Amino acid sequence: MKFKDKHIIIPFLAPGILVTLFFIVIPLYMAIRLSFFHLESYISPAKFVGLSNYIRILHEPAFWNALKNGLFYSLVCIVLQVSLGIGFALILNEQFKGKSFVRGLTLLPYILPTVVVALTWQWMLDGNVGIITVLANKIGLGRINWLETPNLAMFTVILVSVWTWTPFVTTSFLAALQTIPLDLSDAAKVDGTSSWQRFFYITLPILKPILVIIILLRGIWMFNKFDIIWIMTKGGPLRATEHLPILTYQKAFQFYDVGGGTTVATISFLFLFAVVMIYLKVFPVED
Amino acid sequence: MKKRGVEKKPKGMTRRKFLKMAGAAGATMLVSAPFVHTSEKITLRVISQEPDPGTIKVLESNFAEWESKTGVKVLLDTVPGGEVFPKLTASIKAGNPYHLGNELFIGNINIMAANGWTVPLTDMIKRIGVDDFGPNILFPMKGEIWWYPYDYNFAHWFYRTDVFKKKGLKEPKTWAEFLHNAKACTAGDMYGCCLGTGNGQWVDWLAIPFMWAEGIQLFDNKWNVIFDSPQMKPKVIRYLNFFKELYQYMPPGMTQLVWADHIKLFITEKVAMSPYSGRLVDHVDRYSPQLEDKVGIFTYPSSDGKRFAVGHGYDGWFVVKTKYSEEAKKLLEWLVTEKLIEFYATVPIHYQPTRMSIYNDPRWKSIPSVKKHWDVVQVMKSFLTRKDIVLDCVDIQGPEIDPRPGKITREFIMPTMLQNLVLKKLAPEECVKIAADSMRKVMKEG
Repeated sequence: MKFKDKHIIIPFLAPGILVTLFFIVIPLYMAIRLSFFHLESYISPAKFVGLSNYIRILHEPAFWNALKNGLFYSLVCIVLQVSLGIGFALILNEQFKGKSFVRGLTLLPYILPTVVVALTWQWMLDGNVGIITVLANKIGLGRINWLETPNLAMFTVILVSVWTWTPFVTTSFLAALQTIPLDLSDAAKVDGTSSWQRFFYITLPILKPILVIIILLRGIWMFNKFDIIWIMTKGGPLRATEHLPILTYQKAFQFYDVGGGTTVATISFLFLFAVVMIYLKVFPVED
Repeated sequence: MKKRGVEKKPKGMTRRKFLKMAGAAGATMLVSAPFVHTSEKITLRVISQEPDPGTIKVLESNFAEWESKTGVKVLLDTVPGGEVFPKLTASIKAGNPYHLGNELFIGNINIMAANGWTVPLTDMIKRIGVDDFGPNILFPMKGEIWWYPYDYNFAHWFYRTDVFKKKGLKEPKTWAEFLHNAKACTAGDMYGCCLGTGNGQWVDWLAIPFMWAEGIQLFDNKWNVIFDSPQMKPKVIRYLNFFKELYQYMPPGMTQLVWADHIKLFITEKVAMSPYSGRLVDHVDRYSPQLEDKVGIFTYPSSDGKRFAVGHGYDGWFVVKTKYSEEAKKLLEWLVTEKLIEFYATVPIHYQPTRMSIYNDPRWKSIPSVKKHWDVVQVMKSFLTRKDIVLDCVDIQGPEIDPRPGKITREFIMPTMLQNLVLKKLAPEECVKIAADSMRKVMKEG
């Protein structure tokens, strides 16, 4: 940066730095600081307890259950979103009638507000009068309690999450597919390669950088996803869908254990940070 | 010809002009700030968890009237039930506290009083008349009364009188009769009853009162958990076995059921029996008038029919400790002495009056819905006087009013117990043990 350009560059950088400072760095610092205190609300006297909150939380079965649920939820969502997203992108990359319309339709789940998505799916899956429940019963599958059975509840929220966010992966890959030179695939076709071979040996290696970024982003977002699960199950039944963000919220805002809630949030942040660092070491993002 | 070296003065806004103007404006604001502050109008902020649109409208109209009378502006914020406390504490921490609020959870009132965030309303209650209030509603703590309770919300059962008549059923007085009725009513599209089992305060309010009728207590006089004691455990197991059998006569989706969903299942004719407070009758009037003369009520029976219970519920106003506490108290006293009937009239059967004199007030008696459902109102009033009816709930368990039992509700110990029973299919004995251990844990944490 040349010295004479600083008076232009700094004013442009300053707002972003200030926003990051006031909305990310300072709240992060305050949350981590709160995790070393015991307090029952935001205005009760805070008592410094050192690492007691961490020791207590790490001994709680609910914490490990939430971590396990969060890992399961995010991993399964990533696998499904990425594989389905790539599949849809490959299909949408082909030439067919009505391609533009179909591409627009594919985006629909992603642009709907999450609250609308969650409530609509909740109603459709209602154990008594939900349209999907009634149809499943009519075709002989019986009356399925989608959100009442602990195991089924987790798969249900995964299904809804995959439905909602696969379009993001599809769009990202579709955009990346446009950058692949046609000559490469034409030359490969001339050489007699199958479509699978072209995908694994040409398409995927070229898309590797974007695949790394997509998996990273989807992983972070799904690990921290709160809204869909909270609206549909509130972490139930019997903590079957409770993960770390929900445990944080419940501790801080429902159980009035602010110290405990911020401790869970801090551990979650540190865990995710470590995972991201390892991931970027193993799969460095290329320039 | 232009002289060399003399620049033309630029026209319009320049950077220097802008900086001069901004500096002048800032200095003016700084100098005038004390004047603006001292002539500031008082604004009171009110937080309410009453969601009915009619109630909100009436409160806003009352507040506008108060402003025209006194010059004090009043702003109303409405939040979902149970969310007053977090928002209130956040407002206090943010330095812009609410001044007046209402709350449905006495445990939160106790926490606020214990921490010095609210002011006592004892003097106001004494002026109105302590003896005018019904039983089990003022909850004094440390010799003071910390809220003005404006309604009872007893959870009791509503049933379809036409369905009962058709099937030759009577109001159940025992658990066996209750089960028999639920089974008889489960046919076609209709189920016997509904009781939400998801993680929420409604479970303690609506599903647990069978336990109060049975004589189950959570603590002894020294705050020891006795839920799994030799005296209580058999009763709890009896309740859980009853609930397990009753569950098969409920519609699917009970873990998803929240508050007013119990009403919705009744007014959409999906269940023959549903628990709630008077709000169910108000909803029937509004949305299902075809059921108006087909609704009966009864209380939670014990297993042997010797005792009855209603799930205790209530709402009340509190005043936050701020520099405008006295102003807020004046507003509150005006609301509850001169505007109370107007408030009650918005959801009249749900807002069961806490003061016995209101039941004889001609203005209250002339509310159309009260007149129409006079028999239901009289039954609800009898809950306050009948000696065979227990008024109880989780957050007033124990030898005295204390914030700690509220944690049992907040940590969903009772919903978890029921979910363990009907979803995980654990034995009742194990469900009791898990619940009792959880209660001991939260009481130890304080």
